[in-house]
Amino acid sequence: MLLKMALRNIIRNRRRSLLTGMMMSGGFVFISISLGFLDGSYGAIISLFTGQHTGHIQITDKSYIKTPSLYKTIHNFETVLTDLSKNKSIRALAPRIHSEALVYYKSATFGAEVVGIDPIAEDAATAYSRRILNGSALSETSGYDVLVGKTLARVLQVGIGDDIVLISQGADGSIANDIFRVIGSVGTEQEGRDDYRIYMPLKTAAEFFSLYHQAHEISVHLYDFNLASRISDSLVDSDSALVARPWQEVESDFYRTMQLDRQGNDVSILILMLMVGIGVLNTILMSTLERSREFGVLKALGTHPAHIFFMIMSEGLILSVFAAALGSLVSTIINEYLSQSGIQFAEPVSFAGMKISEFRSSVTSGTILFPSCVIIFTTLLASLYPALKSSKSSVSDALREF
Amino acid sequence: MSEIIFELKNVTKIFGHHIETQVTALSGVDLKISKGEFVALVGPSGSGKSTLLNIMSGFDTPTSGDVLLSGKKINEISGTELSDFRRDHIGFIFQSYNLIPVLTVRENVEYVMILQGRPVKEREEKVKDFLSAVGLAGKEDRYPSELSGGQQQRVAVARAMVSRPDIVIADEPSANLDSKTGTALVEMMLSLNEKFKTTFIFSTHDPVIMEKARRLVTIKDGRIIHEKKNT
Repeated sequence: MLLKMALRNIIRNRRRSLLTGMMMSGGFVFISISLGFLDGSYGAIISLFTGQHTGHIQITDKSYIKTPSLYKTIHNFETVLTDLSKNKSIRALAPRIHSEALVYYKSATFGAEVVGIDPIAEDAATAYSRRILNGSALSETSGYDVLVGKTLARVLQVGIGDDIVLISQGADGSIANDIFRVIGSVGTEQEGRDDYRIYMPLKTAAEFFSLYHQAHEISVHLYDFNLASRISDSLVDSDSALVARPWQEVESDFYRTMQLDRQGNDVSILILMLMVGIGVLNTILMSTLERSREFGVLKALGTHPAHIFFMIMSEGLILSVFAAALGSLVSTIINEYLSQSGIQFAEPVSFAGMKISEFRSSVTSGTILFPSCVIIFTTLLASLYPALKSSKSSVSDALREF
Repeated sequence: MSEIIFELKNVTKIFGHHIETQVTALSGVDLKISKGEFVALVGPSGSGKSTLLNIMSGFDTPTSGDVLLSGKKINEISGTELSDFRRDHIGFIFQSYNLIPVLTVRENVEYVMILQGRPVKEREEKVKDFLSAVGLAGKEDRYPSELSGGQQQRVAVARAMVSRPDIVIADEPSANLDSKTGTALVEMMLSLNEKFKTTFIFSTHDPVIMEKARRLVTIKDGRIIHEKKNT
């Protein structure tokens, strides 16, 4: 009976209930779209950021983290790769050798970072071939072919077909030097890691640096980057010399920037909650004040104060559930549309060193569940005071004339 | 002598905490009401009628004295116990009808029985009986806003009586009705009083209605100054 009364009380003042419900639904849609954009945009940024190089998890020698060195390698990395490839959450694995070398071309000399990659595995993991500005990608038969970072190519003024000399040190103490042929330049429109790099096949790098069956890192790419932290611990044994670090740890500065940005959004949501809460409080307070005589009658007839409290809270709950249902429908349609079409920026926006030219939304369980919880919780919280006040009011005060 | 159902012993009610602003609304009121009586409480405005009815209903507590309904001191109980006691022993008829606007006539009448946890079948039968008794059969599914003032007050009478309380307390039940409808209402209350032997106590200003009462209690300045039995 009390639930029936609660429902009829909502219908009783249709216009007010509709306005309150729409305000709640509006708040829901705003939160949901904000979250959709956050998830969608951050997802895209994370994919872009981790997808180009870092990967979602990096496996290295434990000592390599603090002081990277030519000698701190993963021995027999092929065995590690075989073990990792059994994990069904992993989409791709990219072993790499990292070192530095001096590059000579004609009379110009410059320092460069040399990265040895498995062309096929690297392309599956980071699609590096898409960053080739001109020339062709490396292949397994490339031998002494290299790709040069766009800035390095400009500084040295090398082009496709030119021979460059690299001088460095091998892990066995020998002098590493050889002639390599430039088959392309690599990089993105923005400044990036590729700019001063030289990419060569992993086998060639192993030979050049005397690092046979060794690699400095294995970049692990997952199907779902959200699983990185959870999966990383299970990839290597705790007593192993290796360590698996999720992208949040490897790129901690980038992660912190993102977290700060998210916290800014949390404040917006909190302000919205407050606005919705005040609106609901105002409506429910007005509605209960108007009905104070009714509550007096109900109490006079023998209704317990707890039942009055329950009835008013139920009104808030019913209204918020309807508002959440409507908000879910509207926000899912909008989020779905924005996930397909996105919002294009007139000028690209810079975030954590990357230029972003559009925002896309995403539809996840979080874009429905979180706003639902926020709206229902805020409404119940705002209903608490009117419900307590009405349930505790005295019968004689409420009835007055009696 | 018939059974005493309601008894007020030396009831005093003083409003206000400071001596300078204190108002004595009731002063040493003694009243006994027997089962099946039809009592009218009369007196000028501000005489203490409403305060007395508030105290008899358990809406307010006396400053001193005792209020006994069916042998229970209602001034010594509170909270849910008082709610339950009121639900089971007292029926109310208000001046402004005070039906619950979101409930139909049927639901308004059966509300107290729902609180009492009575079975559906019993509720249906009693609602039917009492709506017939107040002449509103066939209007069960109407909402209060679809009824006239007189009809609403008859629903309120059915609501007050349907759970067969020990006493029905009515505060100027005819005050918002025209004189003809008001008189008809009190005559209906009287017939229900005779039929079901339910005790009634009501306040009124209307001399025509006063004549219908079996017993008249006159109150002035917070004291009962006169009692009269109509034959």
